[in-house]
Amino acid sequence: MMYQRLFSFFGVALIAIWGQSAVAASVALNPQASTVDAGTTFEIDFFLDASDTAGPHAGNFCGEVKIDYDPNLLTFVASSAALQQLDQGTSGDRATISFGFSDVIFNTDPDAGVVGSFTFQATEELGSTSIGITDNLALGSFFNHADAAAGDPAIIGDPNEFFPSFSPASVQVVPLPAAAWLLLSALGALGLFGRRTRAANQTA
Amino acid sequence: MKLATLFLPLSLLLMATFANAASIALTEEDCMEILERYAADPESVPQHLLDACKDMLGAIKPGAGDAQKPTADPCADPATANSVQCWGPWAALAPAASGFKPTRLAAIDEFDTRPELAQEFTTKFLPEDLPLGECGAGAACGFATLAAGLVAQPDDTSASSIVPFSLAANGGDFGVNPDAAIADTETVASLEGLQSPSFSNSRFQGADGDTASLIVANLNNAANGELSNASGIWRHGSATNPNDSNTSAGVFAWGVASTQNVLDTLNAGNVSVAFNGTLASDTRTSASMIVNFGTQPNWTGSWQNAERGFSFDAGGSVNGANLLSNPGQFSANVVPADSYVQGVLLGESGDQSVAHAIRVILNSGDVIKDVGTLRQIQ
Repeated sequence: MMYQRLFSFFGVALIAIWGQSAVAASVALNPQASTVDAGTTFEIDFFLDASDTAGPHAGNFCGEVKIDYDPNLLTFVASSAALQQLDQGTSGDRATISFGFSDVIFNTDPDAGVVGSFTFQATEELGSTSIGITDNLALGSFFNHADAAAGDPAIIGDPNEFFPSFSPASVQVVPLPAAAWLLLSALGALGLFGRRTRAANQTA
Repeated sequence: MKLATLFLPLSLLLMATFANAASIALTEEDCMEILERYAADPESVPQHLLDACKDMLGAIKPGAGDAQKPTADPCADPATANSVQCWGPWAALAPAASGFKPTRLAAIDEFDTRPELAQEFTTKFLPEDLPLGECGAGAACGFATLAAGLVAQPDDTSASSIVPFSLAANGGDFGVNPDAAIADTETVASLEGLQSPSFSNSRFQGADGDTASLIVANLNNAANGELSNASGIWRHGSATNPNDSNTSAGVFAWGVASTQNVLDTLNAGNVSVAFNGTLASDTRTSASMIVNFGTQPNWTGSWQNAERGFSFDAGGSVNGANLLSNPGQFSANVVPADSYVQGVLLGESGDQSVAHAIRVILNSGDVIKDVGTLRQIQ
C-alpha cells in the first residue's frame, strides 16, 4: 500500500514536471506602460517565445497576426519595420489591422524576443481598454523556417509549424496630471508673451 | 456334392488369377532383387523366375544417357523453335485467355536461383508498380502526406496517407490527391503570394468565401522564373474556423521531372549523382541517396533520425525519371512487404534534386510516412 502511494506520488510529480517543461510557444503584447495619458502616444511590444518549437534553434520565424482595439480610445499610429502591415478593417466595434513578419532571428537562448512594436495614441476618452492579438489565418501562419541541416538560421529550409498561444495587452487611459496642465499653460503663456514682445519691437 | 463341385473350380480359377498377378508384380518390381539373391545364393531362386528376369532385362533398350551426343546444336535451326526440347526459360507470361492480368513475378532474393537472370529481375519495374503513379520525363509531379485536422507535421504519422500532389508552376494552385475519384482536396484555385520582398515567395494563400488554402514552402525557381521544385506544408479548410471538421493538412515535395534528354545524357555518361536533405514532415529525418546512371540505372539511399532513434537503408532501380525501392534491398529492420520508397528525378543536369515519398514499416512497429526533396550535393 505504501509503495502504491509512493508510485502514485512520483507519477503525479513526473507528470507535473513534464507538463511544466513542455511550455508551448506563445505570443504576447507587452505595453511599455500600463497607464497612458490621454492624447499621448505609447508603444506595445510584440513578444514571441518560440523556444520549444520544432526545427532548429536559433530559428528563423515567420507568421501573421491580427490586432484589434477600441477606436474610441486608441488610434493606431505605426508599426516597427519588422512588422509589415497587410490589411485593415473592423470586427464589430473594434478596429483590426493584420501584420506579417518573416526572417525573425533572435539568436538567443531561450529562442525568444521582441519581434517588433506597435505605436498607438490614446484619444481624449478615458478608461481601460484592451489590445487583442490572434493568428491572422484560421489555418495557422506560424513557422520556423530555418534549414535544419545548414546550421545557419539565415538559410531558409523546409518549414516547421507551431501554434502559439496569444496574450492580449490592456492599458488604462488616464487624464493628463494637473502639473502637466500647469506646465502646458505656462509654456503657452510664454509663447504668447514672446509673440507680443516681438510685435511691439517691430512696431517701434 | 454339387455345390462342392461348383466351388472347387471357381476357387482354383481365382487362385490362379491372383497367383498370376503376383508373379507379374514380382517380376516387374523385384527382378533386380531376385538377381541379387541369385548372385548371393543360386539355390534360393527358382529357375523360372531367373529366366523371366533375364528375358525382361534383356528386352530393355539402351537409355537416353547412353545415346550419342549430337555434334551440332539441335536447336540452332529456326524451324526447331516450336520444339519443347529447344525452349529456354520463359521471358514473360502470356496473358490468360480470360483476360486476367498476371502480376509481375517477384524476385526471390534469398539466393540467386538463376544468376544469369538476376540482373533482369532486379533492375526493372513497371509503371503500374509505382504506388503513387508514374511521372513522365519533363512533367511536374509531387507527393504529399494527407491527414485530417490542422496539424501538417504530426508526431505520429501512422494515420496519414501518402498521395500524389500537384502544384501550379506559378504557385497559384495546388491539388492533393488530384487524380483520385474521391478524397480530392478541392483547394482554392487562386492563391496569391505575399508581396513583401522579405517573405520572398515562400507563402501562397487564398480564400474563396469561407474556404481557404495555404502553402508555406521552401521554393526554388528555375532560370525562367517558374518553380522548379518546392517542399513544405499545405493546409486547406475554413477561412474563419480553425476547428472546422473539414480541415486537412500535410507536407509535400514537388518538382519538374528531368527531361528525357537530361536522363539520356546522364545514362550515357554512366555517372553517379549524390543527393541529401531532410524530410518535410519530420525535418529531423535526414536522408542521402546515390543514383547510378547507366544501362541499368539504380539507386541506394539511407535515412536517419537520431531523435527518434531509427535508421534504415533502401535501394532499387530507376525507370525514366522514376525511382522505386526493391523489397529485397531494404535493410533488415524494415518490413519489406509493407514498405516502399518512391521518387522522381527533378531538374537539369548538375542541378538535380529528388522528390520522394517513404512509407516504411520498421520491425519495431514504427510507421514512417513522409516526403521530402533531396538536393544534389555540389
